[in-house]
Amino acid sequence: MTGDVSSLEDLLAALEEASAHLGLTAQARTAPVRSFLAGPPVVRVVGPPHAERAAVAECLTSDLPSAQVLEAAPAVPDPEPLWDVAVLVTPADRALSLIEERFIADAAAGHRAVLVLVSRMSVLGDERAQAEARRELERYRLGPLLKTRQIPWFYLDESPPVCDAALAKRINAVALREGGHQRAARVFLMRQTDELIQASAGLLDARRAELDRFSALQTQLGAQRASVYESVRTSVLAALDRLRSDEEGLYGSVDAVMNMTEAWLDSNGLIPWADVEYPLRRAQTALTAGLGTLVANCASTLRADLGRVARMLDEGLQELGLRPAGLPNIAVTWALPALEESMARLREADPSPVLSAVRQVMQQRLADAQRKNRDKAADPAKESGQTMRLTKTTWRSGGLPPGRIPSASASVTSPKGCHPLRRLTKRGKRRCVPPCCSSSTPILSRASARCWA
Amino acid sequence: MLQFLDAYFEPRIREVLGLAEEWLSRAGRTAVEDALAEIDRALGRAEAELTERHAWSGAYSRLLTLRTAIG
Repeated sequence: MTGDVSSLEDLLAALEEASAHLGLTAQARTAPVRSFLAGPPVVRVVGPPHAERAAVAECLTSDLPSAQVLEAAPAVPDPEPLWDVAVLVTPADRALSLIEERFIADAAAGHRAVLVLVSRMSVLGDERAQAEARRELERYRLGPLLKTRQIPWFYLDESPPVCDAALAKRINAVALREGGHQRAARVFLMRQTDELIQASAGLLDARRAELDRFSALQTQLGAQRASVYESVRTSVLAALDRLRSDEEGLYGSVDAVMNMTEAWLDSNGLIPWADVEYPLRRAQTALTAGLGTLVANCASTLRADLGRVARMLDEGLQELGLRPAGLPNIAVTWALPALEESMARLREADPSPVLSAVRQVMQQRLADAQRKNRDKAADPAKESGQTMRLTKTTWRSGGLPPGRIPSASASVTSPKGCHPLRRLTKRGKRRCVPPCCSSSTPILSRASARCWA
Repeated sequence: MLQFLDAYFEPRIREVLGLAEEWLSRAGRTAVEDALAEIDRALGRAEAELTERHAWSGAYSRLLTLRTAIG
């Protein structure tokens, strides 16, 4: 509402506009005012029916032909406040009852024009008694209640009768002084505005509750934001840890391959060569698998977290009667071409050439050992009972690329009933140690398992 | 064999690790921020819609002003 709203027309327009914003129809509230403003002065005759209210109304109707005279019982608040002058007719034997007193007080508070007519004075006795009663009325009732409010009063039974042209003239003057229904219209509009404000209070409560819910949703989502960051960070660290762990596994698998070559030699080549290569192959497979899931796992974690946050958002919006955002399948760009190319190069890394070289060396070693054994069998006295031990020196002199050398040595000849691969316990006793019991060796192939049976 | 691994695998693994760390620290963070920004925009739209729904609260203020003007 902007500008001057002091005129009645402006007030009506402002009330209608505010009502429309509130989703309420103001026409029913403003139409009576517009009708009242366009009509003649309205005189409201108020009082109990037995107080000669009807007679007064009839008298005023004839004396004020240009005015609209209406009758009503006194009520607070006045259900029909659109009047210019109220003539309160009160019986002398019950002058200014409680409801009439409240009506007067209410009208005076709104600066409304009110006149009081005291009727039925004759019930108080003869003229002398009436004069006495009038003094008492004025001293105890009329004076205290009306004088302070500057409300005039008259006695209906007076001679000559009060209800005559003089009273009509006075009423007319008051009505004209009101300046075209201004006071009545403002009182009416004020009441309508109060009712609208009261009706809006419920809407305000609902608004406050909705805003509180929205604020809670914002707080909840704020906490989830931090949770998403933390979750993705954790998954990222886990992915990197796995990659590093797979890398260590790859280097650690060399020890296992070396151990397996010993076992392969001790078994006279009975163990399938694939079992020898298996630790390195497995480590490379683990590394490749880790690469395949490196980005996918993080992306999956982020999508799941974002989906949870998006669902939380949509549920909150739906609770508020708002359109869902529709973000559960939020798109995330993960592309990093350089990383993809690098991972592809690593996947393509093939250890077969070095494993083939190792196999050739081992085959040569096996052939040499078998030849020596045959020689020993032909000459039992020579080196009888001795065991050939493959030491670090033998490995190095065997032409393998320098690197980690197995710490354990193995016997080529095996005790009866035990696998050729033997290791000394800490107490120096021999015991069978199946390769599959070693953490660095793979599960043997079926052929190897048969060998253990 | 270790020499082979050093020469053949190690550079490739280092390259992947470096790029993965870069992605996870830069591209991944950007992806998270982009997605959360999308959620923030949705929240902003919802707030605007809620404000529009409660535009009558301005009318309420006007009623209070009107009440004073009438009085």
